[in-house]
Amino acid sequence: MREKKSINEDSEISNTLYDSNTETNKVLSDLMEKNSNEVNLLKSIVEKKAKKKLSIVGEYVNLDYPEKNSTEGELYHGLSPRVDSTVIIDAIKLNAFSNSESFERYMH
Amino acid sequence: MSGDIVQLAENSPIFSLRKIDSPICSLDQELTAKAIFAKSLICMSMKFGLKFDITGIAKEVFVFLKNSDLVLGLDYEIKTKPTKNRRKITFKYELRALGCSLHKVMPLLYTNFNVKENDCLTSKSQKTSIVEPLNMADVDIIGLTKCYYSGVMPKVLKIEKSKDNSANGNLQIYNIKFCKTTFATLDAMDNSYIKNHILLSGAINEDTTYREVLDRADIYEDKLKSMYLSGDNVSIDQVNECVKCSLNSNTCAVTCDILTIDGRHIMTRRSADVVDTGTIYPSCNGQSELLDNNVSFYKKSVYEDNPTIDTESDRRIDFSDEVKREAYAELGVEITNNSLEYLGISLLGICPTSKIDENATKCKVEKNEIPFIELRPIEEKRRFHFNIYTKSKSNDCMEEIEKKVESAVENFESDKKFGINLKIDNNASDTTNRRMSILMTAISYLDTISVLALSIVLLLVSSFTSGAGDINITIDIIATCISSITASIAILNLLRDYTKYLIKRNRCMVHYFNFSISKKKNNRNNVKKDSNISTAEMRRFCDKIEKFFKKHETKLHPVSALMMIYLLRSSEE
Repeated sequence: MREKKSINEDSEISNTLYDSNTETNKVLSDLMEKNSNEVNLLKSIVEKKAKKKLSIVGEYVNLDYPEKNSTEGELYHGLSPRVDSTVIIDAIKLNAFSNSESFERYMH
Repeated sequence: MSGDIVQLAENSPIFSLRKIDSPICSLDQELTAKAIFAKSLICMSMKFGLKFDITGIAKEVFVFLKNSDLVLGLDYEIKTKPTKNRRKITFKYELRALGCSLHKVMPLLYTNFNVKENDCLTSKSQKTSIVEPLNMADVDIIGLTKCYYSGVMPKVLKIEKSKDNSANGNLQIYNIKFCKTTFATLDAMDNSYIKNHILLSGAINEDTTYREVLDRADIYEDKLKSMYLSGDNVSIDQVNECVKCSLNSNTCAVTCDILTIDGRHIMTRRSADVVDTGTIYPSCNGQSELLDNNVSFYKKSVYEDNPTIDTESDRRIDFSDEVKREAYAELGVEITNNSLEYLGISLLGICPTSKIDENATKCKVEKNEIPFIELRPIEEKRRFHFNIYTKSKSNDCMEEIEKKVESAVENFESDKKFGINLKIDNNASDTTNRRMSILMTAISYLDTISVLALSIVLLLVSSFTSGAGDINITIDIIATCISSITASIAILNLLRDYTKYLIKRNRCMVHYFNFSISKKKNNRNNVKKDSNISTAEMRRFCDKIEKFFKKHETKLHPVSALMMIYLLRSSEE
């Protein structure tokens, strides 16, 4: 198990800005805007700089889970994958979604 | 409180949310967690439908249900079985904009109906039944989407730049810190309209309903995004602050532009069954996923469905293997680590601005707090996730890739492929070479026509010179034979090429676009040079590619537009 790390321990980072003030970038921004459908928020937050190589890696931070330190007790932000299609199909068979009372019972 | 967890059902951790310490307002996080949990369950249930055999009156009953105000968005499909004279109905309780009400539909299915002569329906008759026998044991539950499983994905917590580049000064290194979330969570968070489901109009406690709690959560997210992410320039610090306070799943997708060996950038049009239908995506794009023992699909599906990021391992966590997996799953193309280059990271979101009533006086408004009572969030899709952009090369040409796509496991995600040939000329020599190459290719295509023309000339010459003597007659016969055979071969070759062209055109799977851009000439007076490609050239390219996709009744997804920007800028080096 990877050692749990707090995200607050990390040092501050320098900003990388996508400069949209240049004339060329305005043309390209137009291209993005013209082609935007329902998406109204697209920002380039990291961009490879000229003559440099970009490397992007990941680091897993386990959500806190008291008294358990195994994958069995691993927590997820939101719905656990333990609630899968089988669980939902069983719930439909049990008629859990037919009315508020049965749904509320199922929730608990 | 940051970093703590709101967890439902302590002994069975099936739902949890990171507690947030918000600068905007205070949310009741226990209540919010419960409401999002309910919304997630309903969202998952909407992926399934019921299938059962019914008696002859069923069609009329379903038409009645569909036309009545009891059910909104009821969908069904009737498949006739002529041999048994019975109809099989696929009944989808799929919620549309307002959703069909399971609350009302399910009891109806369990009720016996009697159809009178005037087509009026009365319920609770023991004489006639819609479904015989209407027993869940006889009802099949079917999936309504081509592929559905709740995969495990990274929820981005922070993006940080590595300050230590002492090992190699030519590197920019970024680290993405993440925890785990799931597709079911993302799906519920993205689809705001689910909160209109009748079951969520019920009371979550004595004071409020599920719907109201979900409204508040939506308003909170919208406010958060408009506070941190509006404006032209957004710093990573702002993004980090935003994700720190966000309830959303904030997943991280991977995107790759693949250049074929014949110099084509592959682009694809999204098919009808997937998100962003009809728009143009880069070569491959998909959510990165994390290996997890709780997802049974990972254990039994094909290799390309198995995530490559193993959070249990102490080894490097790399997104490049996810890119490779996605490229193989969508296109059947194998790319190598050495050919893969990172181009950047973007965030992508649908961020509706909640209508705020400035004159609201009915509720007490705390400092920096939204007057919840007066607000009604716009019912739109919501989205907030990240994208890692890469480019790579394939050893296959476009035609070979076209064949490989046919056996790719996720080939249903796109219905058209495009080969974009984008040439950037660094100088006049490049331009001349490129034009010469085009000329030589054209000549090579013309060789068959040249042979045919020469054969005809030879035939004409031999016909003019015939009859001058015995030897000449023999020579004429031989010359005529050779000319005729050569001409026939040339005609057959032309016919073959034309047939090939027709077959290719009818298959219509790949469409080609060619464009060349010339870089600016060196100009010593150009003090502030922001790009080596002139604005006019950029605009010409943008206009032409837009027209090309418009002709194909589609347009670039913003992710593709940004990919092109990255490609153009990286090609300037």
